[in-house]
Amino acid sequence: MMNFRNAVDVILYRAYSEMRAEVVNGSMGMLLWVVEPLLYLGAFYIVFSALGLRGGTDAVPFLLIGLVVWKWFASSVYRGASSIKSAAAVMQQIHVPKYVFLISALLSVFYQFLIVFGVLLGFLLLYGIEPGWGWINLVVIVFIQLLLTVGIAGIFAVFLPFFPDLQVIVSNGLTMMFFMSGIFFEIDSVSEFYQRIFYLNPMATMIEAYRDVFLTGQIGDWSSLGIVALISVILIVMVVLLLHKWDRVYPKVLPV
Amino acid sequence: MMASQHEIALQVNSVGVCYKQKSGFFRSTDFWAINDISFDIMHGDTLGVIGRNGVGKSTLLKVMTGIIEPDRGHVNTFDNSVSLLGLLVGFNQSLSGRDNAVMNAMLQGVSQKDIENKLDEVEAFAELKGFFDQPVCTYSAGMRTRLRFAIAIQVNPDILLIDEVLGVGDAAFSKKSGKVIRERIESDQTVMIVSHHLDTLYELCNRVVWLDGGETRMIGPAAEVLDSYKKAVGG
Repeated sequence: MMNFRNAVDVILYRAYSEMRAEVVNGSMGMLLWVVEPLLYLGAFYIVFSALGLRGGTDAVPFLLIGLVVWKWFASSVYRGASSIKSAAAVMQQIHVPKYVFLISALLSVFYQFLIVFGVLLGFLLLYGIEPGWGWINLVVIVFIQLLLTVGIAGIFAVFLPFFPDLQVIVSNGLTMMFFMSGIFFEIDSVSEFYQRIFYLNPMATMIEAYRDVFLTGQIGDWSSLGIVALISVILIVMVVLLLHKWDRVYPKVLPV
Repeated sequence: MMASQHEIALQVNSVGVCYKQKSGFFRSTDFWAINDISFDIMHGDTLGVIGRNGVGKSTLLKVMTGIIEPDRGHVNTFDNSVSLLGLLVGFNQSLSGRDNAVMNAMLQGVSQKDIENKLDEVEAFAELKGFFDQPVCTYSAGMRTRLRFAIAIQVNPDILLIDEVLGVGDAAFSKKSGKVIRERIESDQTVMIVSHHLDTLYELCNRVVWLDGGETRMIGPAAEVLDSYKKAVGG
């Protein structure tokens, strides 16, 4: 039987070895992290040029910051949401607390994000953006996004074994959120009515916070970040309670 | 844990497990995989379990190992650890045999330190010949089976459940793995074996439970129960 200490060891080992397998074995997984934002960047460049729109001088860092932190969120939700369902075979044979599958999947994505985030920092410095003490705020922002990721991926992970069709909602929902997160436009430049709609998307708040820190050195809107953190914590509490309740139900509902 | 014989190690008490079968949108019917099973396992026992296919043996094993909860009755383990000699736990194909060995053993409750100290033993027993640090997707079926077994025997529960695996792999490895299990069974280890091989049960078990239709049909000294079972199924 697995105790908590043992579960933590499993999570750390699983996350680390999965991350290492993707990085060392040179599979596409890790490469996509760098290639995907660059492809989007190229696509937006072409579209904007064709439309005769000109980004500001900070257009490239503006886009890249949004794309990289979005990629972390999207990969986490996508991988995390199916983490319990895809452990169906293992859980038929041994009892494993189900949070092990969720957290190790999210942690392995987080490790990969940290590597790419390092690359992004390097790029921004090369691009000529002045680092400052305000960058320390990034630790807080990354932490809040981590909470958000666990909350949202967790809620889907908890329900997905009962409603497999949720997988479709997850991928379509992510696409919708992508276009409404202000990755390739400044939300503050649209009318107030639309701003209110766009800011319902927590990732819009997160992306803006990263940009504030990188481009101005401080966080503009602490209260919105606080709300995102609060909602995330509420979601996490729900996830914990539901996982506890259904820990031994999942092996019965998931096909072998 | 050392405990005297004739002390109960695990108690299965009127256990029933119900699965929901979907019969329409929002509608489902109940299916009781096991109805009412009761028996005890004593310390040092080698208890055999027999029954036709579909009497709920797999479900019983899942309840005993805590994978699922019974819908009625209860299982008392008296804080003994229970685990199935598991040869099926999945491998992560892109990880090496070494990483998979550590991860699988940890999932089965072995501490990271213990398994890391025993990796040489696992490697030698599994006869992987230099493949231990290669991704598992490059392994042959035989290599996977051997590695699974080498990991499984590192797990040391108070009560060991065995489901039809007395010897796996090719002839030579089957002999070697069978020997290890027999040594375990013949030691003080408390064991429960689910098997269709009556000869094996005659040889190894001191007591046998006969399951029929999701219920305990008979329980007692091995020879007695097995003889009745043979008569009933026309063996």
